[in-house]
Amino acid sequence: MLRANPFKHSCLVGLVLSAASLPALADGLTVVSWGGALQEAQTKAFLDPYAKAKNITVTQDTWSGELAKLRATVDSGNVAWDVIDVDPQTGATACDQGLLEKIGGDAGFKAAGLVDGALTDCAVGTSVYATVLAFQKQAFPTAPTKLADIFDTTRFPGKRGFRKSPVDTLEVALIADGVAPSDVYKTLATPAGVDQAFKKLDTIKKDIVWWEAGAQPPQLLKSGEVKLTLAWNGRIADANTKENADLGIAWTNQIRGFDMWVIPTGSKNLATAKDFVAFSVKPDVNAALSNHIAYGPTVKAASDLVAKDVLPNLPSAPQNSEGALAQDGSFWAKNGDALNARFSSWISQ
Amino acid sequence: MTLPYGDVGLVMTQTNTAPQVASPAAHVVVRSTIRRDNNRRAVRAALPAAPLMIFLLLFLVIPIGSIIHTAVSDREIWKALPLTTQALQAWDGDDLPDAAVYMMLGQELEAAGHAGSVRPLGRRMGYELSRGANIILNAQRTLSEDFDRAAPEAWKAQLIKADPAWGQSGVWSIIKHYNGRYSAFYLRWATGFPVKIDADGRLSQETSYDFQSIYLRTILISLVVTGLTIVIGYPLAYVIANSSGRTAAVLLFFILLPFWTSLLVRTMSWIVFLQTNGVLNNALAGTGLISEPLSLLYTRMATIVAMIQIQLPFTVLPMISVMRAIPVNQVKAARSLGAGPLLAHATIFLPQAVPGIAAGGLLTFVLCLGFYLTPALVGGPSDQMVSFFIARFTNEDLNWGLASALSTVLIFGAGLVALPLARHVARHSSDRI
Repeated sequence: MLRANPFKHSCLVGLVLSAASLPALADGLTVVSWGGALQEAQTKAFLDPYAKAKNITVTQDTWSGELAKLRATVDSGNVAWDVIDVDPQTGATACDQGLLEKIGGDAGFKAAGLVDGALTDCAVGTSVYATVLAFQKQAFPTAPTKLADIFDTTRFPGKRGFRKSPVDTLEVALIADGVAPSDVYKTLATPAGVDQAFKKLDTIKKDIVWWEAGAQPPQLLKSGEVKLTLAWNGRIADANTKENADLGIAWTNQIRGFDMWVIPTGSKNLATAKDFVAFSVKPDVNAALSNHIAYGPTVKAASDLVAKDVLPNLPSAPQNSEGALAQDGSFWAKNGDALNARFSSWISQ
Repeated sequence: MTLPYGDVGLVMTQTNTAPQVASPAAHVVVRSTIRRDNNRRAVRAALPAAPLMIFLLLFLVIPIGSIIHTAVSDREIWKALPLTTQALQAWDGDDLPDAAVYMMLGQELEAAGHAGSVRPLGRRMGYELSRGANIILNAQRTLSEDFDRAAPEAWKAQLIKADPAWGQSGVWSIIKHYNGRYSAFYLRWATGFPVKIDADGRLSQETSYDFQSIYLRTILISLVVTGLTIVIGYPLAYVIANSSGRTAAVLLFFILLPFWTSLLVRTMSWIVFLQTNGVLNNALAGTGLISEPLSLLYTRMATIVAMIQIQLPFTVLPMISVMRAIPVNQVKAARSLGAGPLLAHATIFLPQAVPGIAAGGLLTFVLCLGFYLTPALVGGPSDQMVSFFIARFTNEDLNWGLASALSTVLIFGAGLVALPLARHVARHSSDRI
């Protein structure tokens, strides 16, 4: 107990006080996602209908995939989150470290008819998103067409945005350096491949503006802070429809991922949490998300239920799928720690 | 022997005139009475300062103490593997440890698995050993398989099967090294020494944080900001100190204005001002000076400019108070003796203003060392100062040992610069103010 410092104590006192002033949350569910357009869509498609059907309170929180936060709550044994949205690499890494309940083996999820890769040991995919290249349409005479164009400072000068994470960033760097999408993870698994990716990033480092939350890229594009940026496709489509932005998307070599539900080890509402996850992969519920954000369903039976007019905006549309790369969660689970450390120190230099 | 209240002089007289009466015992009584009296008086005098002392103790001494304690606490390895670390003290470090040690480690790992201390152990190993967390977790996973638990050799084989690193000396040398609760590991890391090794025991080639250059950057930015606030602030302080009434009041009001605005608001307004389609770029484009907007935000320049605005009052105010005390007549006298205005200023006024410049500069420099918010909002990733990394390791990486060590180095670094300078300033200004 010597190590427990006064700061920790005051936090504890604060927690106890705030817990005392809140009504009992035993029957509730706390769901955490990535904020902005995605979380709004999930609220409309999954959370609100579920809360209404079961007559429970669903509390929401947001995060940006900070594993350390999850690790801290699980290690402390005081888990306040019940269901969390992760991308494949966060899910696989957290699963590997024993931070998540292994719900993937449940018969119910196996029978849900999910597309390949959407069901893993710990995570149940609920939608398909893509990391794409988004740009201001008026900024360039010829529009960029593929993700690698973000490295082309001659044809596309100006500041460019990347997510402040090695995930997707290193993949795009290798593709831009001529590595075939199918060889990206094989190359990145070698020290020479990692060097190659960072060397490529060095060429445009001074032009990069780093973003952290998914809602930032459309904002950066609209304010003119960047002219092109890597972004999640649903956020860009959302800005175009809801905020009348005039942003373009280059789809070629999109990096496809799943938004997946996971349940942290030690969740106090395990049964309700599982029930909610199962609710999200009912075909009609699963298909409804596409009405609110341009992400595709993961349930095979849901694809026929998606409204026809949103189909061309989904990552799975054939015309968008050229050279697509699937984010390899297990690669990142294995190499993420080392690559993250190298990335953080590289970026601070 | 009764004495007038604390009258030392009388005591001396009494003992001198009647040495045969005052026994050694009486001496002691007298001395202790005096001491008790003095103590009582000191306590009474200190009483009004007690709230301050208690406040300082609770919110300065104890937190700093606990930060330093966290910086040198390093018990994860010893706590999870106490017997193994002890057994390894006899290991020479050349070959691999005995199979019995493997068995001991394996059993302790299993026990740690039940106690929930494997993950902290893995994380700690990862700080010092490439793939350290994987090496520990792989071992724990493989040990749950079926094998001959009675034979030490089987434990050894099982561990090496789990991860080849167990067949090399690196991991063992780390475990051997940490046989106590405290170590200088985090401090070595925070001062930029290479700490990470590979499984074979050699220094890792992995890129890691270059803390020395981050400290250097912190000092450099602070020095530039301090220098520029002095250059900008000196004429300003001179004018305010030498003007009277309304002019001085109005100027002082403008200096103090930023004090009444939140730091966050001031910094955010710099973002609005400097961004690509912001006030400054639009103004420059409007006058035709530039055709393409300049990238001003997220740069070192933006960081320095915003910090100067925030720090200017801290530099100027001490200067004004010192300058006001400089007699005007001395400069007039120098002028009447034939010195030009610049010479009179440089030889008569400036030397007397030095304590104010030093006090203002020191205050700004020390405050700049700890800047966090401003560089984080208007600077780029390569403009971040030490505080940014302290926050990062505290909140995101949850590496509190390293965060505390970085803080400790910063506290002592700032103290090393500030204390001698502060004493110098105090000595030179005491006869004047």
